[in-house]
Amino acid sequence: MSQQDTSQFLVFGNTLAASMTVLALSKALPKSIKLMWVKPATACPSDLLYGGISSPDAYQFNLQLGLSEPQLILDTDTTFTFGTRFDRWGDNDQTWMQCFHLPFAATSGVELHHFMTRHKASLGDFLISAQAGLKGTFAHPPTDNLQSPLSRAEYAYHFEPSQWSAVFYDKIDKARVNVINGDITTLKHSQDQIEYVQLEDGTKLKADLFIDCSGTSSQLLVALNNDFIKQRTVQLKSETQPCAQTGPACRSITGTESGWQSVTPLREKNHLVSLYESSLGYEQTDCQIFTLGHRKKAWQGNCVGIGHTAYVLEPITPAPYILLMKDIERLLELIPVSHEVHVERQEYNRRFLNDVIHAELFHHAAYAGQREVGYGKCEKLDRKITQYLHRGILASYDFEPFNEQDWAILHAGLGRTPERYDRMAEQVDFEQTQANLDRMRAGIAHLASSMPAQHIYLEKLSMYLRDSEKHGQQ
Amino acid sequence: MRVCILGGGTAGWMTASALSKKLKNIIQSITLVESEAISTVGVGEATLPHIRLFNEGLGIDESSFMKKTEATFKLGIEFCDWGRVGDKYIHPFGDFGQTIDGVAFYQHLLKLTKHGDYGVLDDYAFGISAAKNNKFQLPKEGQTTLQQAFGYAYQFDAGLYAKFLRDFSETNGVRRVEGKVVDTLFNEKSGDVSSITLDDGQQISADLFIDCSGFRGVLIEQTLKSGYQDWSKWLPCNRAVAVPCERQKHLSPYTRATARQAGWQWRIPLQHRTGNGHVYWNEFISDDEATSVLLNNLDGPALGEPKQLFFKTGRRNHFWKNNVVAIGLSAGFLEPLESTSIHLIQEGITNLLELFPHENISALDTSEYNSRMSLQYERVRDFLLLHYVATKRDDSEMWRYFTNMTLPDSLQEKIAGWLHRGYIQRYEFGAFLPPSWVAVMLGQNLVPKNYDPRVDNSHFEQVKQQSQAMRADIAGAVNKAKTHADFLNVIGAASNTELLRAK
Repeated sequence: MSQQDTSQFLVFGNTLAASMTVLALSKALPKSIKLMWVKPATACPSDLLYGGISSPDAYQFNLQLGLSEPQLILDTDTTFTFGTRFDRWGDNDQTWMQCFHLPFAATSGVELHHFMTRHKASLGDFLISAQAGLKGTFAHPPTDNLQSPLSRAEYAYHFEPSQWSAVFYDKIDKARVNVINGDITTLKHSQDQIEYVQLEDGTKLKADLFIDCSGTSSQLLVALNNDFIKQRTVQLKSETQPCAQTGPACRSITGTESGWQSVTPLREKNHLVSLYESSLGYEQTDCQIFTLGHRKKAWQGNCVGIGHTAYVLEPITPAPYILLMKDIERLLELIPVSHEVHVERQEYNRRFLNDVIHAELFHHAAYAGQREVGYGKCEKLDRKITQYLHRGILASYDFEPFNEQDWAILHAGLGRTPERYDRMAEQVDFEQTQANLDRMRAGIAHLASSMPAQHIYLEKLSMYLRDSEKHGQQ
Repeated sequence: MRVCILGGGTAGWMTASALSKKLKNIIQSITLVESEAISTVGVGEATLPHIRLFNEGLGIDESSFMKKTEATFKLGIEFCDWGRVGDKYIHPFGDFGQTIDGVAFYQHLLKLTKHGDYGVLDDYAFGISAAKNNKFQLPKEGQTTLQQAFGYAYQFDAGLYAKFLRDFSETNGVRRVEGKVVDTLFNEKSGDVSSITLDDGQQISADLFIDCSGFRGVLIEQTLKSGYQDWSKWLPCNRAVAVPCERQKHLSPYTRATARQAGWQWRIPLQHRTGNGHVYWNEFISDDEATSVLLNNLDGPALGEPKQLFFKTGRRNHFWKNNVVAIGLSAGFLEPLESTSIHLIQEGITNLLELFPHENISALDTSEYNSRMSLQYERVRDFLLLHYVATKRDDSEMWRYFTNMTLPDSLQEKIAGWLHRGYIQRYEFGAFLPPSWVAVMLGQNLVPKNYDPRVDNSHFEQVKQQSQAMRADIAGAVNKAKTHADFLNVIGAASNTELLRAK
């Protein structure tokens, strides 16, 4: 394979990762690269690990793939979300809204969270996405009124992975992608190269690059290398409950004796997930068992693992979705240019490991100082927590999946209060700042209350979108 | 908290002005000790665009600052004879062209150049085209996105900048003390420096000392024995000779770095004179020869006697140790090939402001500061080294030395990714973004074997048309822009100083 030579990629799996990867590749790859998708009949149950929540980047990512927000709203049970409300979390039963937010406003070069420490205020009171999420209201952030606090909010989606998979599948140009419905029964490989895969009907398929999107079973990748680093084992139970009206624009996660339970509002139904820590000895029926952790290498030989094939994180944050997007972006940037893929593989694995480790840091941080759930000592996290507790410093590493706002909200939510704040904050008049903060808090509370409830907003939006569609305005 | 800054060069006065402005009511006192008998190095006369944020943060008016420091605008650095003798390219501040179908433009250009003459990378950067024509305008004056996609910095007289900031600092309450340090007292138990004694017997106590004493590192090294990481094996140039000369007629808005047999020569055009220097490795050239190379390659007559500098590239093991923070040359030295000297001072100050101690200095503050600064220095080091190894030159002992060098892994991986497919390994925390790496690698003839395959997914004819349109857009705008000298006049930044002439 060399530039513009014909080559073949084979994607395997019936997962959200598979449909998103195939669609993204079909849009980006040159025609000289043939694309084949082996799609088993049954969807992989590990899609449950997305927790039904995306990150704010989903809007742009979907749009690049030709999928607009109106289509998701009209054709699926997708709802909006400002984040996740944690209830009774950890040893201290903390409650907070882990919301999405653009960079906080700075005063005299000092970021908002330092003033929270100085004025003993609660960060969530000053974030419109937190307040609206808690009140169950929603409105799109305005793009033409940057004075409005709502313009600083970010939102994402609650979604059902199988529905999104179907929508992505529909978008795929079937003339571009050879979709083969079937399952792989055997795999022939020598050292770290897959020679071919064989389907149930005996068909043998060869490819230059195999892309394993089979979910936690890692059917292809595991044949080449089993380097999974186990973090802990959990059991997940999933159920759907119908409800009279769509719930709030936030997911809730409540800490329990045995783990946690989440409620994700979809259109007129809620998706409930319960996690039971295996180490605590809770034996549940109707549960799926997952071993959390990640592989050391997501790209081995001529096979790349995307999504849960390469890592398994519990869905307490949008990390699984964020990592999936990053996997796809990384793959697109490193599409092999020849048969020699050493450079691509090495770089892919370097970035992969950084992304996964940094996402795990965020999860680890949600448990740090709480009950032990199997995370070992971590220098990077120690730096983050000690620097924050010491003086509110948000120590960062290159291209973390969670940004400074996410970290500040998490620390504050968990009740971590810095001993000190940025000294430059002292330059700003205390009384004046207090008055500004009081005004800001009241303004945000008022705005959050005056926004419509998510179910009303969605009804009106859907009506508007249908009308527009009817009149050809979309 | 009482602060004492030792040294009044660029580093000292930049630190004094930032601390006095940003922590005005917090620091009990700021004393800056300097001696007129000790000359400052003042080598780093060219800057990176980040300097504008520094000045803006102090509330400094651009025109007035430029006028008082004889400053010119800087759109990049022209590198001559680096990839091969006779080659030249400009490393600008900003990107090249516009992304097409989600793929960086340079990737499309890699393909285009295989199919005919679609110009060179330089043609797709407003900053470069303007620089080549001695033109300048502010990014915000551009009529299209492409015309706005550049940054700018300054070239100034570092001595005048220090003086300018001295006035600023003294207005903000900084006390300047004239004197040389003859003794240092430190607390045996804590290891902290408690006071310094000056040659007139005066003793100055402080809670925090900022060591801006230059290469000597009077406090950080001579007193606290921080230790030094020697990077000579990667950046072996160890001497420089500097001299200003008469300015040429046209005022160029860029710095020039010309590769020589045993080092390289800089040329920094200011309003009243041109700064020059020859950085070299004394293993392969004598001091006299180096001076002669410098003097033979000036724009005009020299304005004084050449000044000799000695250095060892590297950095202190600790930038902040006990109650001493080293900023500037006392913290480390990386040759000024990419104008990073003042930038690294600025990084040090920015981090110090964020981590400025409360009642006591915490080990957490020092470790955070040291880890941030270490990363900055290492990333600059790799970028500088790239210039020496991305070359076909083997015409002297020095260039042959680089041919056989084992590179730091961080740089080796970057070069491998680039050569294979034009891939840039990015980072978030560091001075040089991907376009800078692209500029140097392509500028020095490291042409990737392949381009990003996604390029083949774009409609080739459309890409050709878009490329043509980009070049036309830039060329048209540059044509209309004012000359650099005229622009300085229009904004009131032109200095009143007569051009300096050799006696």
